[in-house]
Amino acid sequence: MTPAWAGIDNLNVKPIDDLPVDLFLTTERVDVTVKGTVTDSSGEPIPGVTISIPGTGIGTATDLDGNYSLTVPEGSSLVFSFIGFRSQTIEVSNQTEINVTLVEDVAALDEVVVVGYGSVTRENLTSAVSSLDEKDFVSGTVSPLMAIQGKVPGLSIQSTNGADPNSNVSIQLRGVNSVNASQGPLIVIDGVPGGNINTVVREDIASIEVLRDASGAAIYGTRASGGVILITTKSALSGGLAVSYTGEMFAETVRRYNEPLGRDRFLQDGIGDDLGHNTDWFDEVTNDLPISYRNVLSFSGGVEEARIRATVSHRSATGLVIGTGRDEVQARINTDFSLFDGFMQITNNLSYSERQSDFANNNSARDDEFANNDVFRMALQLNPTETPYDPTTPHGLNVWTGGFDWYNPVAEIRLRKDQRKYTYLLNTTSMVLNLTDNVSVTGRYSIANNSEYFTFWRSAAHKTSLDQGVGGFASHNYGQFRDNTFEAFATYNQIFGEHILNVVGGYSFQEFNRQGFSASNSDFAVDGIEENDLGTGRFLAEGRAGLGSYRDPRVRLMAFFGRVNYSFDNRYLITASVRREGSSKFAEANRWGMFPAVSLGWNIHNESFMAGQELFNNLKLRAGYGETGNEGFDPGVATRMYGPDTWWLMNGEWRRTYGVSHNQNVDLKWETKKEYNLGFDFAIFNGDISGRFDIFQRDVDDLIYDISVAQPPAIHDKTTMNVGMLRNRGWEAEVTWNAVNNSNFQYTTTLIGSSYKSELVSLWGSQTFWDRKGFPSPGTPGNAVRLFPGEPIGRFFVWEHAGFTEAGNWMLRGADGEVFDVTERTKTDQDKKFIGNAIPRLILAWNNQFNIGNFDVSTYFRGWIGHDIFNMPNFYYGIPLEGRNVLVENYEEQRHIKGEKELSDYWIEKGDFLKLDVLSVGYNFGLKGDRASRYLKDLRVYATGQNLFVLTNYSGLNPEVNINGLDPGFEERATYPQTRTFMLGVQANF
Amino acid sequence: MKLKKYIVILFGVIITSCSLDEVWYDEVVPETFFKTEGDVMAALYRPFTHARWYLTGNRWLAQELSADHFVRTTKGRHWYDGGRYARYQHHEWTPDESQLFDIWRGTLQGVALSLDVKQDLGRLDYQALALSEEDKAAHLGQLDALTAFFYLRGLDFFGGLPIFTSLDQENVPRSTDRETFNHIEALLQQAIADLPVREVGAPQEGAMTKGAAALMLARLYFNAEPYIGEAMYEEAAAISEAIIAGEYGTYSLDPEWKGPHDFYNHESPEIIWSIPSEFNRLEYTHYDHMYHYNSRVYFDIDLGSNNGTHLQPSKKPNGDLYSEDFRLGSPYEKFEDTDLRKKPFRYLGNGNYEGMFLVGNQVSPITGAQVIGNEEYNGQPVVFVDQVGRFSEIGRTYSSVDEVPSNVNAGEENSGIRLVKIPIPPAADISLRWGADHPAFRLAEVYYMLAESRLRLGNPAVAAELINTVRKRAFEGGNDPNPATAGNLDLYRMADEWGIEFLGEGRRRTDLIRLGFFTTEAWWDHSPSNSDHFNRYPVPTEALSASNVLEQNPGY
Repeated sequence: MTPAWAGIDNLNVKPIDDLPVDLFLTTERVDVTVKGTVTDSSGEPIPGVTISIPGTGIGTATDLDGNYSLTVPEGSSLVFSFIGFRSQTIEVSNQTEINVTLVEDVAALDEVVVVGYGSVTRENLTSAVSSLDEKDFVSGTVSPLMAIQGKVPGLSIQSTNGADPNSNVSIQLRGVNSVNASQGPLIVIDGVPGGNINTVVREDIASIEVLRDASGAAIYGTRASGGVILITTKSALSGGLAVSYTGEMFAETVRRYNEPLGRDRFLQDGIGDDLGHNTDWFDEVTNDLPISYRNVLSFSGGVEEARIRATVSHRSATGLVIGTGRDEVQARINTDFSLFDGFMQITNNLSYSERQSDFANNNSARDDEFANNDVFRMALQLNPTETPYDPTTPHGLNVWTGGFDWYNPVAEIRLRKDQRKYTYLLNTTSMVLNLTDNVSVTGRYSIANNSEYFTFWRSAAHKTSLDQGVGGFASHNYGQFRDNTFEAFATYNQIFGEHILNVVGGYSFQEFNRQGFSASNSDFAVDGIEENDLGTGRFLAEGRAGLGSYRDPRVRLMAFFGRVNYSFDNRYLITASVRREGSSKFAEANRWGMFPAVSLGWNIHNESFMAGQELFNNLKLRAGYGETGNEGFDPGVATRMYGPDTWWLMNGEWRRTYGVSHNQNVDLKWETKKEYNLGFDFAIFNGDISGRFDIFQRDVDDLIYDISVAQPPAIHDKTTMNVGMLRNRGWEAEVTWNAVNNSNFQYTTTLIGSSYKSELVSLWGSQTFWDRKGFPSPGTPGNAVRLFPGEPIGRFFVWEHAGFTEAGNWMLRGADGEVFDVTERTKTDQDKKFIGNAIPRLILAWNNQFNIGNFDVSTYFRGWIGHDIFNMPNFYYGIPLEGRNVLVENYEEQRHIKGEKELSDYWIEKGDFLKLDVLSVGYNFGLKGDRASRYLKDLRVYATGQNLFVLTNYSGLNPEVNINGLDPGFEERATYPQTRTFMLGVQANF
Repeated sequence: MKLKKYIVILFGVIITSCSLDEVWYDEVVPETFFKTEGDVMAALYRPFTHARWYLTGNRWLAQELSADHFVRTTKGRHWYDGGRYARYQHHEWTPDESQLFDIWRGTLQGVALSLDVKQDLGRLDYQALALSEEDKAAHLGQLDALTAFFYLRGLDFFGGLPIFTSLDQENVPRSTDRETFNHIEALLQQAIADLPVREVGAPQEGAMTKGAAALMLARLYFNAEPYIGEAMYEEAAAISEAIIAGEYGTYSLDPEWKGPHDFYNHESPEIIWSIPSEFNRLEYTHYDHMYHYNSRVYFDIDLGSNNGTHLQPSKKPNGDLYSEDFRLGSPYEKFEDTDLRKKPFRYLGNGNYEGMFLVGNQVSPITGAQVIGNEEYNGQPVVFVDQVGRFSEIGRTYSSVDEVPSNVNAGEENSGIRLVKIPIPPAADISLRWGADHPAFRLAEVYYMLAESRLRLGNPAVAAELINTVRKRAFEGGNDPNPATAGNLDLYRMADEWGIEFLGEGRRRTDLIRLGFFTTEAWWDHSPSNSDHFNRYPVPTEALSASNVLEQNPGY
């Protein structure tokens, strides 16, 4: 257990009036000496718990192991209190040992919440902030982001590729907030904006705060439109050496996949030729029960003036797809120094991680998102009477040549290697000078150095090599990213009677650099050298090898910011902030943007008229307004540049030509999001039921996007422009009920719900609409999404299905409502309609936590209601075409369809679902008191099952399709199978 | 006091931090770009590299797959590609075809690139770079000619286009066909005045000369009837005669049929404008979509090829000739048997070769190796036949050859004759590879434009004479077994002559439209639509979405 305040660099905890400040006081009036251990509900000791007798000045605090000892007059009442937990009062009679289990107070008003360049108590908070710590993390997850999936109302977190160990995470807060690529929230790691999440292991995280509304996020200015996620890593506590170990083992099984017809059915229905074999392609391309594991070891200790915490972790993951995996080592050292009696505090957090990923992608799709999925598409469509093996070849694989849409996925994987190595380094040094009791100055410098090193090798026996008559291919690609951040800010805290004032003002500077090179060669004399000696290929000698390098323009951000928190009598709260930020990406005149915010809070429960009531422990109204910006586009837009094009013959000499490399737009200005938020917090029945509710509306104005422009006057087809306005509206709610709270049985349940709608309000310039989501061949189905002013985001723009002819041809409903046979009249764009809704009307997460003795059990459900899904696997593989195998799922009901598939609402289905996302059981050995071994202080074992079952009527693989971005609601045709992941873990503290 | 000191330090740090100016590393701003003549040339030829791209790819497919010479058949599991090639063949394209947007975009991007460089060079002080005002006029003339080239092709594909004379114009609607026509005419007349003539004997490098601009003007007048509904064959004839007479530079027909196409074609006197090509530089590789996956064995060189396009069949599955059913089509059989071009392509060494087709059993003339199939004829020899049909399914789907249908969906890996107009050397002579320049304009076209104009103007004898002048080089000793005559030369024969001389050169659709056959005649797998609006492609949906002032062509 780590206290919630660990790692907060700028503590401004409100003094707690009713507790003695002097914790180590002892008195001469010896009556009874009591001792004991204070633990949390999972049995973990809590250090730093205050034990006191109110009004006497007697008190102490627990040590690192949660132990205390205090001498008190007999018959007095001991109050055990700690931030984030509900206080307990125990009367001392003649006990000498009092062990206390503190229960977390989810609505704790004195909980400290990190808000960016500082922190405030929950009671004084005026904006919508969700705060989570280790306890809240979804069990069985590895990525720190997936660990909070569903836990923050309005925050949509999705794996981009199922349980694939190399999958990315897509995050979106309160609906689509921008139309360009940078839609995710700003991630701030230990105060460094834009930190890479890969530098953090979840065991190192002390807390994650999500600033949901713009009034809180505006202090981060330009990159905060997608919200802000603040990650605070753990710091060491003083005291003896503490060691903690976590070991987890994962196994994955297939729950559901895109299953094609088996051999007999395939032949019986004459879908393709009989080639004499019987192959289960899915089985061929997948590992049976792939096992992964991770080990995390951390050490912490030190004295008050110098503390250190070190973590090292290793993760090795085997993918479901043969030949895929991930191997990762991460190390972190967090050090804290305190000098001159606390006048100066220096913190240095250093993390390094190294990862190697093996991909199985087909060479044509070097796209991270679905890199490993193309083999599933092959496994689905290939003729089951074809074989992947051919014993007559040296490699034993059946390599068939020609074409690009058909290949042997087993040979594809075995005869090529696609390895990507990533390193991430983040070092942050902070210095805090506590100039007076009220004023402190913080300076922080951080360097991030990340690199990518991709190597690729294709054997001479690989299909592509054979197609081209070339003896293999190999390439190396290296890219380096170097970012520097410098920030300085001053904090002023003062209490004048009933007035509490907190002021922050500062400066931020960031610079981003990126460069890289690539080399490739072909036709190697020796296949076994693979990609390890690029120089030996024939193409280099012939001048046909590839070589290139690049260096991107330097990008800088500079900002001045300030914030004032003022509270009167803990009743009336106001927070105002402003950030003025400039970016080098804009032309000089449009460089600077101003991002103000103001929010108000009213603690109704502190009003005198509430004094007599018993119902509310907490009732607060909040209202906020804030503006944030977005500059997430490639640099260079404002400058007219000449870049190289291909060769031309000039006066007998071959030279490269040069021309304008991209369209220029000097008028580009900041995209600005203006957000209103109204909310209330409450806690009733002694805090047993608590919750929050927020409604919001936000307008994203001057949307920045690369849009198709008319050429001329534009030279290239896309220009980065301010193009229109987007509006989101929605609500978020969270309710927690501490239903049972006995010493050996506790049950807590939390329900989180949210809903939002997004709409494209207007488009500017000559643009009339944007067609998106072009469907790939076979077929030229066209685009399934049209962004049109006044239309909500998440509708499908497709033809309306109107049945089939007797011959099995498609009938569609035309623009005038007439039904036509597509073989008789050509369908047009005018016949298309906006149909369906991909955005769920309600997104729910429901967590149940049981503690029974030493056992803890949690069940985590998630569900979406009221969304539609375009079932692309069915669209592409639901009816036979050109000898492709067919999905079993819908085969019977669709086999009468003879015409070429049409992009219509026929393929759109309801997606409502309820999913048991996680079931987790833990057992704590409770090594306390007599049972504690000398070295082993704590031991817990746990098991988790993920994605155990899904209740849905959706006929595809997974009703939880992507809903982030501008093209929500499509289940991709090459989809990672739905798998169940089982995890066994052990956690030990020494 | 202490506090003040720290605040001073803090602000010191702030002030020393740096500017927000963008710093560039791997690109250059135009203001600092022009330092030498070489830099001027590098900028001048940037739109030309676009023209190189523009002459092939989707533009080629739109010209050839919609007409009666070429087809990209579906071959089993390959090349269905959403039916887009079938829609070309059947004239069923829609504004949503992505390849049409590629054409629209590519056309107008060519205009934009040309105008952009014209603006930069127009502002440039040539004297400071030790260049003359004549140099400047010639450079600007090249850009005018190139702008006209893009507009001319665009007019041909789509009809009237938005006319730009500077990049400061915004949201320009489409001009009428005639306005576009007039704009092209004016640009070309200016270019003819500004451009130098091609120096006698100088190799072609890719620059525009007076002759190239004159040829485009001839093309414009020659096709005026479909473009603006007004026949201008007199004007086309006049300028064609002037070109042949050497008024725009000295050109002459190459004595050999392959002279304009071979590895050394930059020296051919027939070339009026070509795109330079050389191994490892710009590579004119365009026809490789016609070769079988294993055709590299035939050529004896490493070569990626994807077995897509081939000639439309001259024979039905049962062997009967289509020429008995259709006057158009049958491209292979339109060649006389003694035509030197009809021979299989065979590399003879030292940059010499014969023939321009891959036909029959594919045994490498270099190594003797057999080309082996890997789809319908897996493990069996590849034999290219002048037929399309699923012969491999006889005995299963079809009981006899008479039942085998022939259409765009019925290809096999060996279907159709393949064209090798860009010669391919074996690995031993790899440095010759892609040595043949892309002959965009050649004098033979001027002869044929003049011939057709004369024919239409009522002088078939002169027309026949002109055609025979070009034809005879394709026969041993000039022995043409079937010369054109005043008696046999009509528009159908004219269509055949265009087809024979310019097979695969990306112009067939334009010729059929001018000849009036495009929407009215039938060929192999094509029935006439009898709808004139198919003579123009639609304005693509994606172009309409980016500009709210564009109007669609009638009929779409």
